[in-house]
Amino acid sequence: MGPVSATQDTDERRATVLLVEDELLVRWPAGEYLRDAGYRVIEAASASEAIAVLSSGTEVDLVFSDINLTDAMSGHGLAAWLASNRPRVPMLLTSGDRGELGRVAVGTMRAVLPKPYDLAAAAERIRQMLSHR
Amino acid sequence: MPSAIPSETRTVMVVEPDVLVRMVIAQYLRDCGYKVVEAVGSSEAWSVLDGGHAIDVMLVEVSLPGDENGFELAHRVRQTRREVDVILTSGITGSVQQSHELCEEGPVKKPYDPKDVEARIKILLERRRAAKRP
Repeated sequence: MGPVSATQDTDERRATVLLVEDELLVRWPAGEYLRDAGYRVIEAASASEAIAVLSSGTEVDLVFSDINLTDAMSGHGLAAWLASNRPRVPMLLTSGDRGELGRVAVGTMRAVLPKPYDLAAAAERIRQMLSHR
Repeated sequence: MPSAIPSETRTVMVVEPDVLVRMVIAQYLRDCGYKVVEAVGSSEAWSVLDGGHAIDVMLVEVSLPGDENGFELAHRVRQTRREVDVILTSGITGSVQQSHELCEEGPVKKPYDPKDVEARIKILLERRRAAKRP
């Protein structure tokens, strides 16, 4: 089955997803899948890269991030930065460690997705989160 | 605006440590119709090349973090992946001479215009196509 369309609820512009993942071979297929689903995808390999993008004035509609990043800052750290600096940007966090996922305060702005994830499921989750805006 | 979409989808790997530079050129090339793989440094680049993914052109920044800089990466690609073209980019003018040994046109100097980069990619792809013709 092909990717679900992200363009249904975005009239004038494609929603932008900031994908934060340090593993290139995970980041690449996820980015490609989301692009095929109609999103504009910005790829970042660390929390500091993600913050550089968010601070540059680039409009980001949702952050999809791994929790276990090799950098000094984890996905939790990025979530805290987002809560202080871009409180209206929702975030989907992923990890292969259920304990790490359990630490996320899940609500309208935060959701979790266990790894390994199905790309279609990730795209659907993102679509749902964006439709609640 | 990006120029005409290439007749067949070609894959470009952008190896650039600065996310704000990488993001702009990657998006531009996607808008031009290329498939783009974004890598931060040499080790990421090699994980794609060793994974057997078909890459047509690599756009490589000279100053890369880690064990292998852009020159070394370009040199190794030249030696082991003859089917991949490499374009070097650099913000450092002193690296121009060294780059000429790796690519005849020299590096694309930063700040570059994405249009110039795309034009360079097109020339390389066209050269490959011409070489394949009987």
